[in-house]
Amino acid sequence: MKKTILILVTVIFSTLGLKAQDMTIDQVLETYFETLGQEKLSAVTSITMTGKQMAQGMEFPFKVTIKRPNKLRLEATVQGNTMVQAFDGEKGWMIAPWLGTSDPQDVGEDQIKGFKEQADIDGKLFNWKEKGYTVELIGKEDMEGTEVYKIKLTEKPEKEGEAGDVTFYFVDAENFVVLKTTAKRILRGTEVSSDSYSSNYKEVEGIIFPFSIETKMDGNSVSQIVIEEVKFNEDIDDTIFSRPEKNDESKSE
Amino acid sequence: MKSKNLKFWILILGLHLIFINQILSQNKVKIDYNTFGALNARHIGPAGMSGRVSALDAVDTDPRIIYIGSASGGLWKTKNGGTTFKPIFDEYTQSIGAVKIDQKNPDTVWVGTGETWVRNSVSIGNGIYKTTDGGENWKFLGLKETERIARIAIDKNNSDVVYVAALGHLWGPNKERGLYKTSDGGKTWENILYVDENTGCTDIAIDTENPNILYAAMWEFQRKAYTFNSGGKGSALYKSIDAGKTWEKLTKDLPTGILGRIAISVSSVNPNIVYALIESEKTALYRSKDKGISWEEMNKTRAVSERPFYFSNIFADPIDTNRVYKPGFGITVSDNGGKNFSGTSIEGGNFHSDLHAMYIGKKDNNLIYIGTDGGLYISADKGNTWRIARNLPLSQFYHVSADMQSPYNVYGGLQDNGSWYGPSKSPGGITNYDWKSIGFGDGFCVYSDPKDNNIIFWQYQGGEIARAYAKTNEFKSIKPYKTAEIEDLRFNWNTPVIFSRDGERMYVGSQYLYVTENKGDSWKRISPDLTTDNPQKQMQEKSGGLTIDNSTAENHCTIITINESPLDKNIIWVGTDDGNIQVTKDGGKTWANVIQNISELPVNTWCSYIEPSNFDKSTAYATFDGHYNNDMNPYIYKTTDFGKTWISLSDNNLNTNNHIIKQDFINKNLLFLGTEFGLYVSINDGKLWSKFKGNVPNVSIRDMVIHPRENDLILATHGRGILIIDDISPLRNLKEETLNSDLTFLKSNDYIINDLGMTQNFEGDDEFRGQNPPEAATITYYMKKRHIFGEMYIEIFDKDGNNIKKLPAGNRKGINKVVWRLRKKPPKVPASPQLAGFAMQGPLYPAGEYTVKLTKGEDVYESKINIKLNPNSPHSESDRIFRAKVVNQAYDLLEKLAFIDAQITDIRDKSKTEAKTASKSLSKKLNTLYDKMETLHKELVATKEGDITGEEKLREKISQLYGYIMFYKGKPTDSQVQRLKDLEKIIEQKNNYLNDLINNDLAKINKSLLNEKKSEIKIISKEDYFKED
Repeated sequence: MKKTILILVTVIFSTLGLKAQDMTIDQVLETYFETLGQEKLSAVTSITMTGKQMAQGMEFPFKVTIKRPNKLRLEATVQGNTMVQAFDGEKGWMIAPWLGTSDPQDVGEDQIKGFKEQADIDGKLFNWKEKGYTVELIGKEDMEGTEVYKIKLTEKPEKEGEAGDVTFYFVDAENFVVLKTTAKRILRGTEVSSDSYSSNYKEVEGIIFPFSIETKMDGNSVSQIVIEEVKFNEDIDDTIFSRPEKNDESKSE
Repeated sequence: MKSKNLKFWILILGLHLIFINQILSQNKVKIDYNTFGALNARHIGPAGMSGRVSALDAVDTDPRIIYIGSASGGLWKTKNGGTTFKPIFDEYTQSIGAVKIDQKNPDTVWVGTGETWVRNSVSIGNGIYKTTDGGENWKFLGLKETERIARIAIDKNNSDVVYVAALGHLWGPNKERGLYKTSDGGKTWENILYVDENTGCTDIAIDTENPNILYAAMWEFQRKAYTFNSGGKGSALYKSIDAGKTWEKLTKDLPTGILGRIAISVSSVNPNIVYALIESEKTALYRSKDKGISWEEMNKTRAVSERPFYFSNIFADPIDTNRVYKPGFGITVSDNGGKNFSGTSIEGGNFHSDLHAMYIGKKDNNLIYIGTDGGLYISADKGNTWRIARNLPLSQFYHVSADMQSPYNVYGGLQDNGSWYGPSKSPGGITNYDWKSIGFGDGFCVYSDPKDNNIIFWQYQGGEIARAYAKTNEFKSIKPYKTAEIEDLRFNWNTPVIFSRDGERMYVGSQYLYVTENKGDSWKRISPDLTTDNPQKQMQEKSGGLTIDNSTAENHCTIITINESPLDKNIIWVGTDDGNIQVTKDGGKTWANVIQNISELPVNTWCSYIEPSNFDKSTAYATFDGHYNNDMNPYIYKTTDFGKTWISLSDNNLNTNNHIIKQDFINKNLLFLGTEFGLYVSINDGKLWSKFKGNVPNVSIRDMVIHPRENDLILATHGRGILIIDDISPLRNLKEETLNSDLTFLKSNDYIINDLGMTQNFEGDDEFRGQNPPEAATITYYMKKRHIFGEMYIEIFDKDGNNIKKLPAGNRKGINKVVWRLRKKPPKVPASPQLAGFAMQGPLYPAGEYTVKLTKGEDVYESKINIKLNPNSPHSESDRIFRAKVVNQAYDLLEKLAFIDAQITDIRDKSKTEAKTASKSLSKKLNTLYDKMETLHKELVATKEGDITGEEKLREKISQLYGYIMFYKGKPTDSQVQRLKDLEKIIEQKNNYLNDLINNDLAKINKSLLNEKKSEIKIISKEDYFKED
């Protein structure tokens, strides 16, 4: 039944045509948050996702746990070994046995930046003002044959005088979900740009969620993530985000 | 096949009907570039010889940032001094005339389009563009009809004040030319210096101290297909002292007669010094030491007077006032203000001739960049030695062909860069090393002999044809000569050399058509003069204007396109550069000129291509290129009655001159059109043309070939090398009814199992690397609309109905391509701190037919996919079957080992845990069991952490054996087979030992555990271990 409602919403939006070029950034975002179920998402305390990541012809099962505020844990299995990446809100760490030690290691600032982004359950667009970002509606354009609103979000620069990170959001002008994000990040002085395409949106407890995300760089697919299950508000112990002294999971001595 | 959940749809449809009329009227599917979706071109280079660089600029404060404007391959940017480049102008015209960085705001760059080195083959531009973010986004700022922009100058005190030297139309008169000025950053323009409809502006220079002082050079010039003129009363050197409000013609001390092209350079060290290189009866370099009031002739040798229309450049050194550079055929320098010139190179000098652009480091004048006919070169020692940027794929092809080897090779000739051939795919990507040079000069048609791979036909400008032997590197000139009964032969710059489809006959056209059946050893003339033979258009010895330039580039009244009907060897079509179409139905005995039957076509319009139909003898397609007559209209015609009547196939989507049309050989309604600005496709016999954008820049497409075996569309671009659109068969199946369907599978090539293997190379990041096609089966389908909501995935089933793979589906509108790499999932291996690299891949599934099931929400679509063995494989089928069996045995052995080790580590860990709480005696037994398990584990698996431990246990030994057997497609060695058997025995022993421990030691312990009211140790089951992650 949920699906029926969803399709009906789509039909109505498409039929009324929503003289969309006249929409302001606030209107676009408002409709987007409404479609997404942002109100419900804001009440969510944790998200647990399991799925598979495919890259270079290989497949890795993974599990991601995100908990407010700003906590993240990612586990992926490679040849029977579990790799862990985690962020406790301040510190980031990882365990990757084949990198020479099965003990947890602190990660660098670049990676912490990425963890922080992923740990934000609401996403950057929500409460952008409070988060210190600026947002701008660039306009309406064609994206692979689908009409989209292009929104530019600029963050405060890390250091005075530098450019802040920029993310472009391509929001479907008919259904108001994000079809693509283009992230431009300064990585050790060099700008790196990547495109993430979201699809297979499904409704989970009133929240619209993409179950397929493909990442491309320079137009070439570098990774594809398929989410198999999403759970909200699981009871999650904070300790899983904190860096252990030694790897408890290490089976060898 | 499609199954639907009916109830669901009845519910939806009922509500849907209310809106349906409105939706239907809005949703008529149109064909545009999005229809072609994920069909993309691969760029395979070559880049080693690069192509003509017409303009360049670098950031003065950080000259590692360079913008490279090419003649017809777009604009490129490097941020690392030329190690890597990115194209940043692919959406726009690829012909660049001028590039200027605003040095005050280096992310602001002005680009004037339309090359101004106006040779016969030059492309065209359409105005001026500006970026304010280093090239990510461009804004078109007008001056569209200027066609060519030679120079841009920015007021150093006010970035909004910009001057643009516009050449205007090359092939005819026009008014939008001369010197333009904007004072508002390009919003509005004022023409501040105009002479007449035949005179453009070639140079603008600003006094480096006083931005109100300007120098401008005006040039009267024009090109026709058959002649070129440089010079006239309009040419002159001008100066303004009020920022362009008023102008004074400079004549004092300067030559009095007719002038030609002029270049200017103001010394930035001492702006009193101004250089002017002036083409005249006696071309010379002049220098003024008083801002142009008086002049002194410095030099009139060949060092400064070569080919002014092509090399009109002079550059004052930014640091040394006495030093001045003159790029031309080579590069010369004077250290005494232009009095004497000598080459810059003492130790080096191995760079491509024909220089058009130059940048000298403002802080360090040792650093020099030059743009040549063969790319960008960089010198770190004032021009003494040079290195090439070898990953700028700007190669300017005229023609392309392909052979039938596997993988096939492509062959083609390049403007000023000879003839080349290279593979369509290569291990690790197609690099410059994969391309082989053959021949010299300007290259055009190149073929592998259809009957003999050792023989390659190539040619150079003006009808010089050669037959070369790949093995010995010899070549034999085979051009036909004039015989007594006929006029001197006239061969076009780009003389057509064509093979019949069956490879039996080769044709060459001068004004007459020749055919050979013995590889050029003897020729038979099979036509009279097929051109207009207009004597007024045959005076090339007078071409050039002030400086005679007779290089065969203006040869005219010649045959330019020939094709024999693939259905009948006696039907031959010929098009001429002076606008004739001639056809014979009797192998050349009689000819009919049918051009007058295309009544709406302006007379003498260059026939760029004639394509006999693959399906009907009386049908042909012709394209015409009016740009030689200053006419950019698209002309495409089709006849179905041997040229008696023609219909136009041009539509409003086309906006420029056309070079070539090709009809598919399977679907007669599928046409491809190569234009000056990119590729167009029609799926309905030319009723509607749609641009093809998938990785094809807005570049000139000069030739195309559809590979008869691979179904690839191979494009010869004039400026971006060879592009390959792999497997066009989905386009063949894109019918009108398909377009209206929600989702339809489109047939692709069967996948022939192939493996390119690997190479070890560390050429550095500055090597060009053309993309290979994926080594995978491709599942192709069309979707009317993007998939956004709900599940969408693909499953593959083998012939027994087993679901062997689940893949994410492509979800875009138009054509989607999903690749299936055919690999079984990698074997499970025991966990270890060391990755088992050899076991990261699973073996291939066998050849055969597989079922593809695509689920999209409630709908399921089904199709088949065929995997075939490579018929050219050196391995016998029985060897391949045997190998597959052995690989799978090794795979199974690894998984067996993995399960044994999983049980061992499971018992080990549980023993340790139980030991903590068990009674003392039981605890001791548990610890003993723990030790036994740990010892056993260490026999099976490498456990050391670190990098190169060299530790090899059973896991590592079997993985390596598995990898080695899998990587080779043929029969494994006897040693490998024996080794596998031996390892199987060892594993069996370990397994027996484990089972002993389980049945004895563990069983006893479990009894005791139960006695102590604890639960027994349960070992992981096989099902649990192998269940899908």
